[in-house]
Amino acid sequence: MKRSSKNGFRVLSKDEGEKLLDRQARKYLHMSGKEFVRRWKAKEFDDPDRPEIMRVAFLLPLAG
Amino acid sequence: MPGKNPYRAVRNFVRPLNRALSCLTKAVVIGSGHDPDNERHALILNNGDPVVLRVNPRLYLSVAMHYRLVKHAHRREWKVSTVAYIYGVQDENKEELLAYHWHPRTTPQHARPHLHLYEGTGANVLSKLHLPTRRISLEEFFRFLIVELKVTPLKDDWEKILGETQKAHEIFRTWS
Repeated sequence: MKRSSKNGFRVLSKDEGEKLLDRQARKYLHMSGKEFVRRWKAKEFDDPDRPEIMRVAFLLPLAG
Repeated sequence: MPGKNPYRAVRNFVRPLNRALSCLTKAVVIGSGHDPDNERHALILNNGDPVVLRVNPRLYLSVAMHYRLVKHAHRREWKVSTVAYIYGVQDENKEELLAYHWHPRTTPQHARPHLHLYEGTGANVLSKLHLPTRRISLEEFFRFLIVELKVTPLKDDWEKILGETQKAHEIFRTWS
């Protein structure tokens, strides 16, 4: 994980972002990160505004 | 606050945000960087996991934002524009209590800023609704946590810090 101390926050690489997305998708939604991305892009979530879904969806830019 | 390049613009955006966060937590923010070609970046507190707040009974805090880098048309400067946010509070069991949301692109059917009151608040009838709000700043949310929910701040001068960071944010924000 890269740390950009001057910027005051840690910048994740795409690979690190994908791993974080995968970890959090499994933790909060019991699915892999890839499965979450697939279902998200396919608009398969009935209520995407659910907190556990939004929690993972907000990580998407970290995964490129 | 603008910067003369994307890196500095993000730095100038994150610095006051970190000051505001320091009033409530020592948790670290992660992000996706400052590439202006990316139409959306993320800024996430504590890897997306709730962080514990100093209050009894225990509460947890979640903060996530999306932003993009915008180049001023006339000035040779870049600035960060927030394009989405989630500020949430969870109870001692990490069940959602309430959350301020704004994510117009993610859920176009709920494009405006809104508040969720989840069942943990006792608002069973309202828990599925999107209660309209204006755009809420992180500082406003933190004041609510400290003043209304009696969270003990980590800094004695939290009012001064939140006042300063909110003022800096308001000067350069693109919304009113």
